[in-house]
Amino acid sequence: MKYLRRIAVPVFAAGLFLAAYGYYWNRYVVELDVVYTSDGHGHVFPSMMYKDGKKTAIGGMSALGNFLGRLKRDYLLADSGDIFQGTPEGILTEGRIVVELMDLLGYDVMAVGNHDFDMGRETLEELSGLAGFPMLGANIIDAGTGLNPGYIKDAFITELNGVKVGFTGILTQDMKFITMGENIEGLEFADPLETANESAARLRKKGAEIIILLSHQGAEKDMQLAEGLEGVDIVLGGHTHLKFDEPKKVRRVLICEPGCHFQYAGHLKIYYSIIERKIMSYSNRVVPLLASRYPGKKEIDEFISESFGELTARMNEVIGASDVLMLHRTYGEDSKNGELALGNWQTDMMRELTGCDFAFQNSGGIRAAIPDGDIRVRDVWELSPFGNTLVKMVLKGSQVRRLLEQSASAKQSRLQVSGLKMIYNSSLPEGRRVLNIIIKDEEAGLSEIEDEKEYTVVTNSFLAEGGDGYSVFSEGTEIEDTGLILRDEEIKYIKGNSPIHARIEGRMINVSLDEDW
Amino acid sequence: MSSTVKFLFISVFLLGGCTAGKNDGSAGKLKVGLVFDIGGRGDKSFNDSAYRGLEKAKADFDIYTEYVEPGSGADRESALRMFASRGFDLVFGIGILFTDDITRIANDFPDVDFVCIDYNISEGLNVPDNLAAINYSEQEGSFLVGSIAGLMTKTGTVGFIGGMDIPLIHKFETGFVQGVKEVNPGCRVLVAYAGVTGEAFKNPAKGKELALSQYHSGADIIYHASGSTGLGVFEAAREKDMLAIGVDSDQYHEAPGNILTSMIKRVDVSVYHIIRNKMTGQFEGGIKQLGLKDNGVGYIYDENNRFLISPDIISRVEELKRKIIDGEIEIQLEEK
Repeated sequence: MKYLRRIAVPVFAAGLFLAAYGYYWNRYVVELDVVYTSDGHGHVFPSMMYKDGKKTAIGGMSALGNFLGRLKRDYLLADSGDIFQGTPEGILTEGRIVVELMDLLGYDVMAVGNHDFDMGRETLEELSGLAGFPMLGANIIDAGTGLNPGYIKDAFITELNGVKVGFTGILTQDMKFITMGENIEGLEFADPLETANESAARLRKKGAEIIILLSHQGAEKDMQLAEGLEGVDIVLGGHTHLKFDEPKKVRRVLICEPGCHFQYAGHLKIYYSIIERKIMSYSNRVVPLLASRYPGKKEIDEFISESFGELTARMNEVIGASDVLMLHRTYGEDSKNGELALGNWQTDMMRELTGCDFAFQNSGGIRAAIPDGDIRVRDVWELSPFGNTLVKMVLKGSQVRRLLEQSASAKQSRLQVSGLKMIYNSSLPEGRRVLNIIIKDEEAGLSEIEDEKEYTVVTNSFLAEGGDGYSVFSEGTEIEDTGLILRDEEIKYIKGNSPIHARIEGRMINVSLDEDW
Repeated sequence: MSSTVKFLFISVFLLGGCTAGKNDGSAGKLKVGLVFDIGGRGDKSFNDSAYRGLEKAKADFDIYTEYVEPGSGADRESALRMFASRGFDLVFGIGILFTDDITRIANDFPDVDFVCIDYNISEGLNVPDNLAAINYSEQEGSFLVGSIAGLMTKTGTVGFIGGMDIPLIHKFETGFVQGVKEVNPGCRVLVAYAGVTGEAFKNPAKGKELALSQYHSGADIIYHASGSTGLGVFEAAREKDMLAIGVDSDQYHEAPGNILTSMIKRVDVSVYHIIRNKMTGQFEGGIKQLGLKDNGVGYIYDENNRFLISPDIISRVEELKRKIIDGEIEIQLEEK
């Protein structure tokens, strides 16, 4: 009893506090739901995810529709870019199907991503005209006028549950390395930090109480950006296809990344006090849109089959088979070396078609896995969505060495190769990493590449222009665009050589021991 | 009802958050102490590798570090105790000789985390939760340099010279021999040890004598695992213009042109990773076996020795490496 008496007062006080707190919370804190996506790349339908030898159908815009339909309250729906291009649906309709579905799903706003320029500025302008929501890109500047081009807005304010929410958007400054020059001619990309801060200040002036930055420049850069952000509360990021199950917090800024291909729906709840006019806390979940849990939404599927039925049927045509699953990303030990079976298959085919000594393909241009078993037209469109052509040229041995040196230091965008084999050590200083470049000749056997000798080389039109920073290609002589479209050639090749097969065979060997030190 | 539960939950969550925040704010620098093996810094091998890891961690993270180079056995234990009782957060003992002392002291100081590099795993010895006992699969790295030797020998004879004749060094020998035989079953492997005491690790004169004898008997490549005794092996290789294989660190510069490659133990990487994990609250005690898979051991191929080893051989060795990692090749160790 004594004991009880001793603790009675503190317990009572604590109870009172909690009750008061709860009252306050229930009455004056509103919950704002924001659903966010990024890097959808035209994935209207579910895609396959390969993990530990199992494949799972996941994602797609129709599955997202199912998810949204289950939310009981109003929400804001935002996307951080790269949404139109990547699947045959996206490309063959020039993004139209995606924009129409976005309207159907109720998107409030999106940021423009680098790949949203892939079909040309005119196409993006048309899509912006069709869209019932604004496309943001505060740092995308028309060099002529010094302003945002007409079809891109710098910011947007909307209201949810009586709270004014402001959005702004930024795009990576790497555009000149990662996008075909003609598609962004006359555009400049201003400093993301300065632009975002200016934009946030303007939004505040206009009464925005919560400011969300839609950023298409990658998770790592978002974290750096947040160090200097002023006025921005939340960054919804994209570009690097990463998924943060737990948002990162840098200073007071929350950074969320929702993965890609509509495989996940980011769902952020903001608890906002309408007395103090400030954010009290957050909760966040990133929901996997597994086809087993979130099948397509009926009205969306009906819309797709009515408006685009013929197209989807054509894309589902089986053209051949592969005897092995070929992934488009490297895993484990293979990540260190960087060699992809798909890269070997593509570059061997490129060399066979053109009779060149060597073939090169950028790993970043290999966009989707080829399944084991049946291959559909769709799979090839997703593998090679860009419509790049094959370009031949002549390079000296020393130039090939420089290309491979650069590749040895480019973690994400190493080159896939055919006609040669390279041994490198990525822990040596940059510029001295390639140890051997070996050429296999049916008659002469193995030999090292010769610096002064000229070799014929085939690559894709993106790299030929110096894409991904591989400027050595623009030094080539006797440059000739064959007009052969990689994707079309792949379809032909599969039809004529089914079942196809390729393996990782040690063309690229990294003898470094320091991978993550 | 549900809203009551919700506000209670959220309130508790927020209150919990407040207290945690206070604790984080008061934390100072992480204190890391390191006690070297006999020989200490400057051995161009094992201890220096540990030192590199410590220095890199110091450069990358905001930590306070101190190290001690003990002279005799008693100093080892007292140095460990000194760090633990002065409130250090993480204490390293570098070398197999620390095994018993560090296990005992880790039990005495449960709030301090300890690390032993080259921990001598034996039955009946329990590793406490606050001790990371690091053990390397030297046989795996030795297998790979053995396969290089087996592929490159012109005489069909290669040699192994060990320091002290103990199980730890037998791991090097047995891996090497199996690597040679994997690629060249008919190849002869000469084996010699420098002695049966700790002195066998610092006797270059003996190393040279054994190496000259092996070269004389037809060996053209010798792998050593013998501490500074190996410097004598390298001297013999230079004199006879034959090849030798280094150990622990990259020993190319001890005899440029005559050192084919080195089997390295990534003590530097281990020290660095453990400090990093401690920084992020991810320190894990218990036995850690580090092999090829974890880049804990490996061989050197770089701009120095690429003129000595042909790329074909590297391709072949990388295939073997993959097979060891995938478990397709199993290296037999002697019974303990």
